[in-house]
Amino acid sequence: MTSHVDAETLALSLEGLLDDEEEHSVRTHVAGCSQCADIREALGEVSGLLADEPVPPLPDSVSTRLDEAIRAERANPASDGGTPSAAEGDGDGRDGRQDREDGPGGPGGAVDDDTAEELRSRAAEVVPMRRRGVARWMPYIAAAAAAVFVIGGGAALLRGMGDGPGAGDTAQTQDQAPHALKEPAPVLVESGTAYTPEGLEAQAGGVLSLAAPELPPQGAESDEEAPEISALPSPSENPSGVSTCVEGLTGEDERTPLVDVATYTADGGAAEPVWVLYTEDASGAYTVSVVSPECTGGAPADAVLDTAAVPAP
Amino acid sequence: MDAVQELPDKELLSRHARGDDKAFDELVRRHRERMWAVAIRVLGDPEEAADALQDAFLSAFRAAGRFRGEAQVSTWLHRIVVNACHDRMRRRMVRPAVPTDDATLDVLSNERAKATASVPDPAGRSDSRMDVQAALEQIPPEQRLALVLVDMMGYRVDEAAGILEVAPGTVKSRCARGRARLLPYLAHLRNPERPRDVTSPRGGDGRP
Repeated sequence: MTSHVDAETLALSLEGLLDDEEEHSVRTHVAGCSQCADIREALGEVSGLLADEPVPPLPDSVSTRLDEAIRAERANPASDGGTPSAAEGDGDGRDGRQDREDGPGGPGGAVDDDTAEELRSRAAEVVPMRRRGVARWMPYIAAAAAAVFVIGGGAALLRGMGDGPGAGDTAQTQDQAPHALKEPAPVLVESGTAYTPEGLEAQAGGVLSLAAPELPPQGAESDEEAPEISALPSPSENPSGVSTCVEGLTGEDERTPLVDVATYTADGGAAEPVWVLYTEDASGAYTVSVVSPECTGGAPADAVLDTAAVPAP
Repeated sequence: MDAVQELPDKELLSRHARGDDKAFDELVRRHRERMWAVAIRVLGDPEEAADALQDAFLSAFRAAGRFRGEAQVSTWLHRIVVNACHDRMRRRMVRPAVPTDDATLDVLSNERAKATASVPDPAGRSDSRMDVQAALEQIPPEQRLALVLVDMMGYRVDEAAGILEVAPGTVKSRCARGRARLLPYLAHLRNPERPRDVTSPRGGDGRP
């Protein structure tokens, strides 16, 4: 009761997402704490600030470009399966989601339960991705190349690539197939897990058991994009430098097939963004290393915040 | 012509699927402003947003035959735009890792620098606009998306949940967490005379 309430809890409280007990203690505290009351008031104004933000108008050039792209598509339809993700559609993957509880997270550990809810819901979100298949990049690249071809000069000019569609075309295709490595690159996931020191082993076991069935087998070589794990979401943004970090921390007889982009909360500390490396040794035993993104700075071993042995999946 | 403009979205979509050229143009005209608003706010960068918008409408163009009519066309289109934005964000993070040293990237980044730098406005209005956009880019994409839809575009939580294909409770908690994360960045907009320290009593989740 004496400690302040953090902004996130206050925000959850404003949304009515805390359980009764926690809500009560928040209210009791805020009633006697002007500092927290101020923050709660400020939080209440965030929506208004966002709502007042003027909408940047649609530039005419973009409207024109849209019309042209659609005209080109009509004249010369791209092969089926172009930009697969966007259109996976209506109703797909909703099964099993309808019955999920809409309510707030459970008592006390609102954060934990909520995280779990988030994890479940994000796992569910990913269901449609599975249909895209492991090789989802290939049709995509083809479609992108086709699109550049079709709308060629206009698009290139708009992008400031006035030097000619050819150059732009090549650069784009290369950009989209960045991981042509002999060693399979680690699969990146964003499980939504908020790792903690005491929970690490169990949390890692949970994530690994979801991912394991789809990880490439030991010794696999592949030029393909790392597969996606259907039970776990891919990171919405791929952090740069992960592979440096993985190379620095993976021993000779080991491999690191999985990296979870997550957060870690040390005892008494604040949650910080981390990469959780799942490293497998020759015997098939897994170790997790919780690594701060600072490990791209050159001393990977110093960036390891925590490790644990994980039971084999 | 007039007829097309009066048809409901679903009818337009099925006419398009049957090969009516006018129908899809009308859908684009109807929805492009809102789709743009989503894309520009989620991605921040006009060029990226334009790309995402084009990806999205082309996807919709091709996928119209698979629309099953359970959802609103508008929900479906929003979902497509959101997915196109996700793809853009994903690629944006991959791109810098590729050692393409050619002039293309320089040109792009110059263009981008110009685009961001060349909007100072004496009224100070665009200052605040840039601040809010910059703040939005500091928070996780899932939270940003929820806030764009609910707080900025004014959609109901259940509408946003339909677009994002998550439970309404998840939308609410993403919004709540996103607001808490935004707070330190927005505090100065709200109360310029007040010092920043009110935002972060125990250094909690406020990120630098």
